[in-house]
Amino acid sequence: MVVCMKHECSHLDDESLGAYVDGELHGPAQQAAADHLRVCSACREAAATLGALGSALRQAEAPTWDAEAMIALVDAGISALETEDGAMGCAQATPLGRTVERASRALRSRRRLALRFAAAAAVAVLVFAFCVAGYVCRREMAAQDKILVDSHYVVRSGNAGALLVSYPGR
Amino acid sequence: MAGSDWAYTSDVDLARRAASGSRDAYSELVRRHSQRLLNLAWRMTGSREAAWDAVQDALLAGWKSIRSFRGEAEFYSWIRKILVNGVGSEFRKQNRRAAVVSLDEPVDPGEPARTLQVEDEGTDPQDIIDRIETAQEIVQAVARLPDIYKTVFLLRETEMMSYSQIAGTLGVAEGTVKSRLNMARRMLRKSLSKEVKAARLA
Repeated sequence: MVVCMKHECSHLDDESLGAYVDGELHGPAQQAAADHLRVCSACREAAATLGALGSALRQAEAPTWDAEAMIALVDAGISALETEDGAMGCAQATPLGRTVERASRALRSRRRLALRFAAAAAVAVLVFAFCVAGYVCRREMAAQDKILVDSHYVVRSGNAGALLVSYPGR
Repeated sequence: MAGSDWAYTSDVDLARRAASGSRDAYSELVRRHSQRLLNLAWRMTGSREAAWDAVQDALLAGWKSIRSFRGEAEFYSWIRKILVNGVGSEFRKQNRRAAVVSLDEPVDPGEPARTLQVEDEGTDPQDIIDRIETAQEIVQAVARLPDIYKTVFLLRETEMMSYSQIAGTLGVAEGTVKSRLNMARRMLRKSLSKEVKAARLA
């Protein structure tokens, strides 16, 4: 924070000076800062500047506010909040409200059921499509393999006629 | 009950009644504290309208959570925390901090803290004091500070909060409060030094 060697002292660093002005230095640190400020006019001026920043801000004129208008606004806001909350409570407080609530719950339940059916159907369709695609693909690949094997046989033997003989059972 | 009938009722009692559903009691709390809250919000946001909205939101949030107020701290401190956090959240939403990375906190725990170099421009401190004693520049200079520095500076200088109270309100470490406050003061000194030089040239 501050280093003193005989009569030569380094200045207080900004954070320590600020903490001193704010009353946030305690014990030996506070004492060391106070000792330094007694002998260092540059640090005293810097401390005065920090103090002046705060006091000028506190003295600066603030706008005037209409507290009653704020009270009215907040009260209206609370009314709106309670209306929102009350709407749920009121719906269940009367027989009609309870009926409406039951009906909407049943509707929501039916919607959920329909959604589940739709999702299951979509999965089934996807699985079927995948199986069909797999079957077609396998057939196509088998045909390709056959062509390749046949070609290879013809090339190696040079005898197209032997091709039929090489596949017993066909 | 009319406002004057609450004159001898403490904030804690009013809050208790408000928690039991008394809107009159809460209105009295609003009457007592809205001025200070509005001044703080005005200095934080730099706008009457924004301050008005921020305080209204904070007071409504306060009503919703009034049961959580246990009277361990003052009501004003409790509602102020709601306001400061609300304004901070609004700052973040508006992305007003986009250009301001945290300059005093390391990104990684192992990384050394970074500091922003804000040099004083060699103006005599007395000139700065003279300048701010005779003008409103300080208010404008504070309004121009980046939000994180402005908030800490205002909580310290206008609310006279201790470093630990500010740290508790903002949910940051005391060291962070100290470094942000230091940075705010450096920036203000620099800003006011420019004003002094401009005034000399004028």
